[in-house]
Amino acid sequence: MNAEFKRNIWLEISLSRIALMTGVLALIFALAWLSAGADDKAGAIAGTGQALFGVIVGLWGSYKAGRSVSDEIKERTWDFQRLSALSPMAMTLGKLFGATAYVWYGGLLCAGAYAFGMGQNDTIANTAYATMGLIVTGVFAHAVALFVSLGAVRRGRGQGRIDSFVYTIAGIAAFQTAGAISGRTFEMLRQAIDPENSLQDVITWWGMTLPAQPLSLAIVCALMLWAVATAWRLMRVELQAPANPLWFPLFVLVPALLVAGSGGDIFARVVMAYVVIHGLVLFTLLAEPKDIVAWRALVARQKSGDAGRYWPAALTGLMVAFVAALAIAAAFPFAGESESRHSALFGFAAFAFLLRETAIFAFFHLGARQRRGDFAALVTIALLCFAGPAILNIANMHAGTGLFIVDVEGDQISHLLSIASGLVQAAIFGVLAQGRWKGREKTVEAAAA
Amino acid sequence: MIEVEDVVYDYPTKRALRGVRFTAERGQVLALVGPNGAGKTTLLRCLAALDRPFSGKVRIDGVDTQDDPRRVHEKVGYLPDFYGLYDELTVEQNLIYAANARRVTGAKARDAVQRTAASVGLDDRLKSRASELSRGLRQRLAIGQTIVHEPAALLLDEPAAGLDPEARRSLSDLITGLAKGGMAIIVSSHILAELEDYSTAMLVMRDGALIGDGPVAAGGGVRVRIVLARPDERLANALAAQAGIKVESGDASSALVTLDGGPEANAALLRTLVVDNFLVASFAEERVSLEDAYMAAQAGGRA
Repeated sequence: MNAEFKRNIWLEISLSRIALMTGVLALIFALAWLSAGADDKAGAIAGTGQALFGVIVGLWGSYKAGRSVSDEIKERTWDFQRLSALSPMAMTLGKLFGATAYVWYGGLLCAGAYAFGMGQNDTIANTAYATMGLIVTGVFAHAVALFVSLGAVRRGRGQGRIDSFVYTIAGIAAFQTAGAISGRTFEMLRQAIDPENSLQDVITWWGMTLPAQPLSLAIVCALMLWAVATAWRLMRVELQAPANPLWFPLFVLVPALLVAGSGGDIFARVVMAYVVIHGLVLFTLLAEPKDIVAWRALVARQKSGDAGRYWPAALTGLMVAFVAALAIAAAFPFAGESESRHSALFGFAAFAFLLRETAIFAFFHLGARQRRGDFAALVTIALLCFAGPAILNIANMHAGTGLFIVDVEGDQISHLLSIASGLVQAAIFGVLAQGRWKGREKTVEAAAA
Repeated sequence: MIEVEDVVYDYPTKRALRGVRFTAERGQVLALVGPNGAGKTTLLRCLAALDRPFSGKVRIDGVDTQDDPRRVHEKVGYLPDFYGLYDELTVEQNLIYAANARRVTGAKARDAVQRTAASVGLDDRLKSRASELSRGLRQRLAIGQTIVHEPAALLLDEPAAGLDPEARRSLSDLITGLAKGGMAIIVSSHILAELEDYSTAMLVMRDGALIGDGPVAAGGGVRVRIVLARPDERLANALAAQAGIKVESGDASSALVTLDGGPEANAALLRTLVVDNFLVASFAEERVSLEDAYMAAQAGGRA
């Protein structure tokens, strides 16, 4: 058995805890059964099961998964685990399913009750799809909470209450997102209560008309695998296993392609894919170490031709985003009528601002108080993205908002303005960052001497 | 066994290691000493392949820590200065987990747990929870976790901090036994007395660099304190003229010297002093302690 999973089972599962969970859930389901009307008992059990699953697996499970690594750091056992011979996958799965073992015991009882209640008024196939969707959604949420926490750990943070709150929120957001996609759980519940309300049973995805239930379940399964793979990849970094340079393009492309499938025409799909890529590159910028030591090590290894293994994912991400911006321009001629108001330059405009955000992060992380670099960078970006446009809007200079943010509905001129402005701002922050870099280099060299 | 070449490590605001270079062989116990902030813990973390140096090379049993850190992890046992245990698990469960996590499984794991528990003196506590153990016993359990897979190199960061004299003695016996078994061991501490019994050599660190360019003798040598009945200004010159003698301190009425050559050299020196009409009131051997060696190295490093 996976050693990490076994250790978690020793810690999480005991006869008294099992009895407690079983007793409390039995009591709640009994109350739901007794308080429901004679015609609605099955629906009440299904609804209660689903709600409890959300609380136990979505909320509590995300918290537990997010804390599974940061608690090791807090308890000073993480170095021992990093020195273990456990493979990154064994460690990832051991934490993902081990730290949440007790949560899953309760969650599976709730999923069973949900399936029982739903099965009274629906087909076996519908019940099976919905229940599977629920469970896969739970694993997805936990994997997201785990990889967000691993990102924080990588930056030398992640043990505070606010961090725990962030992991839990990330998990809940993932739970809700996957629930909305698979999601049919809610729709199915509604149908179980009101059989007259028929389900939409096909979905158009990448131009193909596919049966809704298997497709939505498959998409959530793909997202779950993506999240587990991301957690595994970050675990590899923590355990110092060699990195594969192909990972980052896959990390951004898989969800981008999944989301893009729901777009109307090819242009809309590429735009949707770009938006996902842009967001994930920003997440990576936030998650990766950006201090002077990391940059100096990269430059030194670049000079010795050994930078490949240490190449920051965010820089690879910028390249992927640029390719996606090119794809938007290439797809513009195929835009449908509803998209014709956009311009082919939308991607380049967004990319220019992505360069600006990168330069802002670099500037603040090369400062003397680099531990607050992320906060300062985020505040600056927020000011540029919200305060700048708000002031221009108040002054009735709506066209000028393109100086700070890309206007999704904007025309070619607006996007040209955004490109120029984004590049100028990126250059300004880049030059300032370079100045700080030289100053820090001198400081480090003086300390070394 | 442990090869360190020009290792440099930077923190964002300071250089923690400056070109550290040394080697340690199997069976050797190196005392890693120096003031707080000298870079001892950073060096140990680089040796354990937990942190990656900015430049330089570290090889453990021939494996480069930067090329294959995972293989290095299999070859080392590292006990940090602030370690954690799984308090809700029993001693046996902690050791089984440690063994399993190091790819020691099944019957081999059970044997390893029994052997390790016996070697750290916890074989009668296997069913106790870690939270129920005293500080000394927790320390033993932590060391047990680091040696359960029989590593080639053992790195201990302040292992005796907070231990009572009896626990320190058993730790000393354990380290001596492990070294005899062929492990290369580095023990970091700034309490020199605890290293006295088992260190074979000493690495003295200051400001991220090794003083003396590698391991220096960890005390244990012999020196002679000479006291004259009446001050004699000729003493310093007379001692300086002798071959194989190093004067560590002295004035007109006494001197502390280190001699190469054993009892015969001592006898020859005493004879020379008497023949030269020095009124020797005392000629006594003193053991060179680790602290003396450390202070001498520090003084040499400042010079």
